[in-house]
Amino acid sequence: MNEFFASLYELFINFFGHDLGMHLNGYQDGAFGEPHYIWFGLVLMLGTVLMVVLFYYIINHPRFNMWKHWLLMLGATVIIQYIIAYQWVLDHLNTGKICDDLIVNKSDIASFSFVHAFWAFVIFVFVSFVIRWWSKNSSCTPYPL
Amino acid sequence: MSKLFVFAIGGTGSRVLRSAAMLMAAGLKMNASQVIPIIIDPDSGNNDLSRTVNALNSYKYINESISKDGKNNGFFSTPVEDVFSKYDFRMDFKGVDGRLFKQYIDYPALDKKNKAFADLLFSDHHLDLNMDVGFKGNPNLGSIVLNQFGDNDDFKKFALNFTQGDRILIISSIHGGTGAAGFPLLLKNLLNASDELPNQQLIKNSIKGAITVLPYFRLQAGKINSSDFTSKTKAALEYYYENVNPGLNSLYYIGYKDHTKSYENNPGGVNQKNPAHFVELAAALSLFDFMEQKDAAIKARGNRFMEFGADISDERITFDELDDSVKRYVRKPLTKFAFFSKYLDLQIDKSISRQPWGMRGKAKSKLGKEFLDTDFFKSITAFNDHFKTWLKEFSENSPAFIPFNLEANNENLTYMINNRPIAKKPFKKDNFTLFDDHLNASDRQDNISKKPANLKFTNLFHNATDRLVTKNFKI
Repeated sequence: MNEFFASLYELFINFFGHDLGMHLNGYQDGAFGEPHYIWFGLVLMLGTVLMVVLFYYIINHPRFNMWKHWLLMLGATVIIQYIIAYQWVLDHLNTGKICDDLIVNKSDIASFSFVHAFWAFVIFVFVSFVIRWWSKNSSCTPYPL
Repeated sequence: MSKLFVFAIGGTGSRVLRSAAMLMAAGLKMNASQVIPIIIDPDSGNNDLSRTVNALNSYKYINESISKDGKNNGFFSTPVEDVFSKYDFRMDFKGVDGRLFKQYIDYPALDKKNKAFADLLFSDHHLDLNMDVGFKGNPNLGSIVLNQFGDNDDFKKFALNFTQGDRILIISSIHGGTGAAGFPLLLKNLLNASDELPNQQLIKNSIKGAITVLPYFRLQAGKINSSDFTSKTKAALEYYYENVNPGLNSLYYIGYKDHTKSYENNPGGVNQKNPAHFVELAAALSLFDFMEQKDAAIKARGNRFMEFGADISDERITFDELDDSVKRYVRKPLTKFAFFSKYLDLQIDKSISRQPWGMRGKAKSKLGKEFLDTDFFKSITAFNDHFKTWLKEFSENSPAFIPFNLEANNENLTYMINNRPIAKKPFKKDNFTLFDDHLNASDRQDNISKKPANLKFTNLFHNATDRLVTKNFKI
């Protein structure tokens, strides 16, 4: 599972840096321990799917089913995921969980969070198109079938 | 199932037929394969007739448009046929158009003795009556002019279409001119159908019913004197007792003696446009009751006489004043159609291109904004205009039939049924939002999203209003 998520994030590893990538792969004091990608990946997946399900099946409202409402949910998801990723990695940095051998700064964290938010965007769109068919009020959102 | 031939005689006949069209549109189930209205009214220009004909034509067009696409059990589901194919459902009578009564009887050509005899029977006022506007409450004239069924081409067309098991129902008023005169004459011609008439044995032996509407309104002072309605009624009832009742398998009496409102006294023509009255609605229910009766139950003639009662205490009728059996029968279909009507009026253009029910589907089954420009939808809105006028007229008559708050809008739609507030309101969904929710659910779950557009449209609304009324109003 970790490898799967790692492969997703590391498509853009040049964007957020190899050192942060190594940390997220569990690098600590010269060895690789418990990886972090899996947790970011699970939060990414579950959080995003939850937002899609919220829109299509829980809110599922005739007055909240237009493309702009979908866009609002997508935007909220992307922002929430960005904030979660940023705060989470920042917490690693501030609490010394990142190995001293690795050079990670706030700009790397912002870039990683951006990648995380990008995948949230992709997953939101993908899951939307998969599950909208069975939604009572939003099956034609963001556009008709 | 057999066909039902409905002879609607005079203004009252047309108005009852109009109510029947509204009930059929609302989805009341008629146990007949077809309803075939035949209007008998020499006054071709009267507005009671033209409003009924327009409503029937819209109904017929809608029914046929839906039926060709598949089975329809909802709104507009009872087929209506026009045996004359003239788009007016009206039986023509010879020698009536634009003529005075004295011309019809060839009065100027009569010799002295016959003229004196005619003068004895008819006043100058009668002789100078222009029959373009009917008989102005004079059944003695009507009974002469209408006595031409024997060689009437339209009557032969009716007979030609008559098949084994078909039934006949005659609607007329007892206190007017055309109805009072036409009913006994028509019945006589049906019971003693001549040998030249096609299917004469079938017609003679068929099950026949009638709705006799007793006085239920009065007229302002004018050419027709409504103060003698009651005495005319008594005389006619006495005649019916001997000469009419024994020939019928079912006879429905209805009237309203406590009427307080006077209609304008328009003897005929375009000005004759009496507002819809609850009595006409109740009379229209007889059509449905008549067709529900098994052959064996009403086979004997002169045996079954029915009346209609309602608990009216303050000139105001809602569904609650109706007997439970009637209430069960009409409340749900009428309520569903009233919601449909409101949606057509206030919401459809906002939702049809935004909600899944209007957007889903491909090619033939797609609705969308373009659907609002189709002839089918225009017929639906035309019929809806008839329905709204019909309800409004009820509410302003005496007694007022006010089952709905006709002013309901998006703010208070869920309080549209008088005395029946919404019983179960989902969180954050009410009024048209709730309606759209049910429409989307119907489109999703009732397996109708792939049906052709016209059928899909009416089925969607029938099913959605059914959900709304059943789930949220517990009706």
